[in-house]
Amino acid sequence: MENKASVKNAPATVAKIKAIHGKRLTEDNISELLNCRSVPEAAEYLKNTERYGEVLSSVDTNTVHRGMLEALLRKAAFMSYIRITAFERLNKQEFYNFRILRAEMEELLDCIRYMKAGSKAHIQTVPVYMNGYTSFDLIGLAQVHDYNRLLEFTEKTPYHNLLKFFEPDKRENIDYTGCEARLRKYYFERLIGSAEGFSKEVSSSLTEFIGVQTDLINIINSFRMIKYFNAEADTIHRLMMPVSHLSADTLEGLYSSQNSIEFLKRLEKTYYGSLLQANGLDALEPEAAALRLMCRNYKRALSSTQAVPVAVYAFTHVMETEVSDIIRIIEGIRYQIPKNDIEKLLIMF
Amino acid sequence: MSSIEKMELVDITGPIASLDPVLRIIANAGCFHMETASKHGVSGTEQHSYKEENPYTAPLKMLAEITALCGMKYSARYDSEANTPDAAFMQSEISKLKKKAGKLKNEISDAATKLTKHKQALMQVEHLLGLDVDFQRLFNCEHIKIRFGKLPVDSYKKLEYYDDKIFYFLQLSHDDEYYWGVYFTPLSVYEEVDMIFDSLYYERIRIPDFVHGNSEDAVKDLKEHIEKYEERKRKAEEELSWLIAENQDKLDIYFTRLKGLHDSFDLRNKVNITKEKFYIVGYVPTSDKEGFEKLFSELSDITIMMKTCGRNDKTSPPVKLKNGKFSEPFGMFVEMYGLPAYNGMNPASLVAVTYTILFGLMFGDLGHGLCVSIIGALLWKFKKLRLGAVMARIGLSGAFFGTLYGSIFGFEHLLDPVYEGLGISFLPFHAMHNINTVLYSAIGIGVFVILMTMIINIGVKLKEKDYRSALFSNNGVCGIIFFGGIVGGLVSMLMGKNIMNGGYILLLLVLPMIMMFMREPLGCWVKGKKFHMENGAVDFIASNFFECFEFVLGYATNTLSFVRVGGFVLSHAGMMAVVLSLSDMYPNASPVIIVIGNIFVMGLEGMLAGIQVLRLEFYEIFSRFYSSEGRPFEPVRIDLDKNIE
Repeated sequence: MENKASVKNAPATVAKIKAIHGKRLTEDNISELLNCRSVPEAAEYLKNTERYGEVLSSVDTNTVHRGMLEALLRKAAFMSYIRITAFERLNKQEFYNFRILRAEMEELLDCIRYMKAGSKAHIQTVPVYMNGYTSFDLIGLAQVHDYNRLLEFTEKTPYHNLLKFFEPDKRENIDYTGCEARLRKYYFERLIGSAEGFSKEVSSSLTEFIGVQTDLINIINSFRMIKYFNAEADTIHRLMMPVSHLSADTLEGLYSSQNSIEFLKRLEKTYYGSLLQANGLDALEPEAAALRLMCRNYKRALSSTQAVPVAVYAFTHVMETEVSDIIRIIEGIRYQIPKNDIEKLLIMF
Repeated sequence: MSSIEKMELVDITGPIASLDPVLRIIANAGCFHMETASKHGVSGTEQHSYKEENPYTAPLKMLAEITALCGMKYSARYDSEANTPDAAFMQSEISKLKKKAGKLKNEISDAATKLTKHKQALMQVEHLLGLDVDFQRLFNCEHIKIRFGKLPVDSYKKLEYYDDKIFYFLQLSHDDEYYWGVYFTPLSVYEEVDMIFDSLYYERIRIPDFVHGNSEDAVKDLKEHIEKYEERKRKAEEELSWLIAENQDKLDIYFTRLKGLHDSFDLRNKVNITKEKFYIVGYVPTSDKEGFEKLFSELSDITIMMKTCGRNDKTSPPVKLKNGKFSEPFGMFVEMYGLPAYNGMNPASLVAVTYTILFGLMFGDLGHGLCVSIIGALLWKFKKLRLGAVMARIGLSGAFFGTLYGSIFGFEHLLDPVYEGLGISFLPFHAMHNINTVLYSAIGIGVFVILMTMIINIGVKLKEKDYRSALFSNNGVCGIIFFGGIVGGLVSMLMGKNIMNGGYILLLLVLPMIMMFMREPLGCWVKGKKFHMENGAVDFIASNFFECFEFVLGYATNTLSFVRVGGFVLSHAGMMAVVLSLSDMYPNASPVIIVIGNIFVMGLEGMLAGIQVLRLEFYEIFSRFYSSEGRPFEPVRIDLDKNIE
C-alpha cells in the first residue's frame, strides 16, 4: 500500500468532509432526542434526521430491537468513513485505513476476551458490515475459541507474531492485558509511521493528535490499574504506550502513586491536569473527561484544518463520539434514567 | 373633523307576546347597542330577567356535529319566512340527516380500518410467498414452534455459526436490509433458539387470525378483501358526498334561520320582564334614530322612547367615533389605544394629520411613497384592511416629501432638472447634505407638537372643569410657559441673542415651576376648597420635588424623542446610497440589485417608520391630553361566521 503525501483535490475533499460534518446533530436535536419517552420514539426521531435517515429508512421503529438500532448507528458512522475514504481513492493510502486497522485490533481483543471468559457469544457482536474491508474474515474469527486456533487463524497477518508472544501457559492463562497493550502499541506505531509520509505540518498535527490520544489512554489505564489492581510502577510502565507530552519523570511519578487519590493529585500538576479539570474530571473515573478533551480537540481541528488526513481522522472520531452519545441517550431512555442524568454522561454536547 | 357620534337612549316596552319579533328586529337592525335592562335602572319588584334555555342550541349543535362528521360548512342563505319551516320541523330534518351521515361515516371508518389491517397483513404475507403450507395448520402444530419474521442481513450471515443448534430458518424473500422468513424449532429447545434469534435482532411478525391458506392463497384472499373494502369505502364516500350536495342549500337556509333565532333568543338574557310586559334598554346613534323607529312601524303594541344622551349625563353611553373621510382609517389607532369617553374628544383628526406628516417626513421618496400608496389602496379595495386605507394616505405624504427631497427610488438627483427649470433654488432638499438642519428641524417639530398637545390639553381640561390640570399641571398653562420659556431661551442663545435675563428666568421659568410644585394647593384654592397635606409637609415637598424633576426630564426626553424623525430621513437616504453603491459594484446585476434593494428598504423602512410614528402618537401626543375611558358601541347582530360550538 502506498502512502502519498498529497491528495489530488484536497480542498474539495475537505469541503466534502465538512459538508458531511455539517449534517451532524445539533444541540437542539440532542435536546429533542432526550425528550423522547421510549426507544421507538427516539428511533423515529433519528429516522427523520438527515444524518441517520438513510441507515434507518427500512427500520420499523415500533418493533426495532435496541441492539439493532445501536448496531445500525455504528454502521452509519463506519459507512461515512468508508464513503469519505473512497472519495479520491484515499483508501489506497496506508494512513487512511486507520479505522479498519482499529476495527481489526478491537475484534481480535474481543475474541480473546470472550475466549478468556469461556463464552462463545462473540458472534453476536461481530460487525458483519466491516467484513470485506478487514484483512481477515470477522465471522471466521468469531468461530475461534482457543488461543492456538487464533494463532493459526492469524498466521498470514501481522498480528500472528504479536500474539504469538503471549501464547498461554499450560494452565491456559491468557494475558489479555499484555495482548491489548501489544496490539494497541502496534496500532499506534503503524499510525504514526504512516502519518510521517505526509508533509511536515500535517504529520506534526497528526502526531500531536495521536500523542494526546495515547497519553489519555495511558492515564485512564494506569489510573484503573492502580485503583483496581494496586499495580506496581514497573508493570504499568511495561503495558503503556509511547507518549508525547509527559516527561519520563512525570510518568514515573504517576505510575508510582500509592493509590488513585494520589494519582489524581499528581495528575493535576501535569500538562493534562487543568485540561481534564476543564472537561469535568471525575475523581471516580477520568474516562469521560478524557473523551471530552479529545472530542474538543477533534472538533476544533475539523473546523480549522485544510489538510485531508487531519480532517478525515478528526471527522471519524467526532462522528463516532456522536454515535456513542446517541447510544448513551437511547440506553438512558430504555432504562428511564432522568434527562439530567443522561446529559451528564454525554461527551460531545 | 372627527367627533363622537351622539347617542339616543332607547327604552322599548311591549307585551311579552311581541318579544320575539322585537328581538329579531333588533338583531337584524345592526345599529342597536343593547344593555342589560336590570343593570340600567329598569328594575322593580315585579321585574326579573329572562332565564330560559335556548331551544335553538340543540339543532345548531346537530348541524355542528354534521360538520364534524363530514366537513360540511354552512353559509348565509335567506329564504322568505313563509317558505322556511318551523324550528321543530327543521330539527327533525337535521336529526334525520345526521343519522344518515353518521351511518355512512361509520361505514367509511369501518372499511378504512379493515383496509389498513388487511394491507398491513398483505405487506407481511407477501414477504412469505413460497410457503406452500396453510398458516392455520402451522399455528396448530403442537411440538414445533414457528416464528415468522425478518432477520437483518448482517445477522443472516451469522446463522451458519449456529449449525449445531436445532432450528431451521426458511428464507422466503429478502431485500437490502432484511431476510424475511420463518424459523422452526422443537418445543423442547425453543427458549434457547428464541434467545439466539433475539440476539440476532430477529423481528417477529404476527400473522393476523383472518389470514388463511398457504401464502399464495392468503395473498389472493387478502387482495380480494382489500378490493372489497376499497369498493365499500368508495361507495360510502360517494353516498356521503351526494348527501352533502343534495342537502347543502336546505341546510344553509336552516342554519341561517336557526342562527338568527338562536342569537335573537340569547338577547332575552338582557331583557327584563313582568307578568305581561318586557323592557329593553339600549342605545342607537342619533343618525340612525328615524330608521330604527321605522323598523317597528308594523308592531302597534310596542312603545319606543328615545332620549338624546347629553354630554354630562350620568349614564355612560357607548362610543362610536365619527370621522371624516380622510381621518376615518386612522380611527383604528384611536381604537387600538382605547376609545375616548362619550363626553371626551375624538383625536382621530389630529392623529390623521400628525401621522401623515410625520410618516411622510420620515419616508420621503416619491417612488416608494407611491408604491406604498398603491399597495395600501389595493389592500383596502380587495381585503378591506383599514391599514391599507392608512397606507394609501401616508404613502401619498411620503411621495410629497420625496418630491421635496428630490428622491425617486433612491435616485437623489432625478428631480434636479425639474427644479432648475422651475427656478426653485432651495429645492430639492438633500438630507445628507444638510444633516444639522434635518436634526434641528426634527427637534423643532417636536417642540411644536408638544406645545400643540399642551394647548389641546388645556382646552380639554377646561371643558371638564379640571382647573388644576388646565392651569398648574406640567401639560397646563404653567407647563406651556415653562417649556416655552426654556425653548425660547435656548433658541435665543443659539442665535447669539441671549434673552435669558433675571426677569425672564424669574417669570417664565421659576414662577411656573413653583406653581407646578404647588399645583395641588393651588387647584384646591381655585375650586374654593381647603387643602390638606395628607402625609405631612416633608412628604409633600419630597414627592413634589421629584415630580417636578421628572417634569423637566420629561420635557427634554420627549423633545429629543422627535430626533428619530430626522434620523429616519437620513437613514432612508443612507440605505438607498448603499443599494446604489452595490449596484455600481456589480454592473451586470445592477437592475436586480436596485429592484431588490428598493423592495427591502421600502418594506423595512416603511414598517419601522410606521411603528415609530405610532410610538410618537401614543407616547408623546396622546399621553398629554387623552384618556381612554370609553366603551365601544357594539350593535347586536347575528354572527353567521361563528358556528355554534
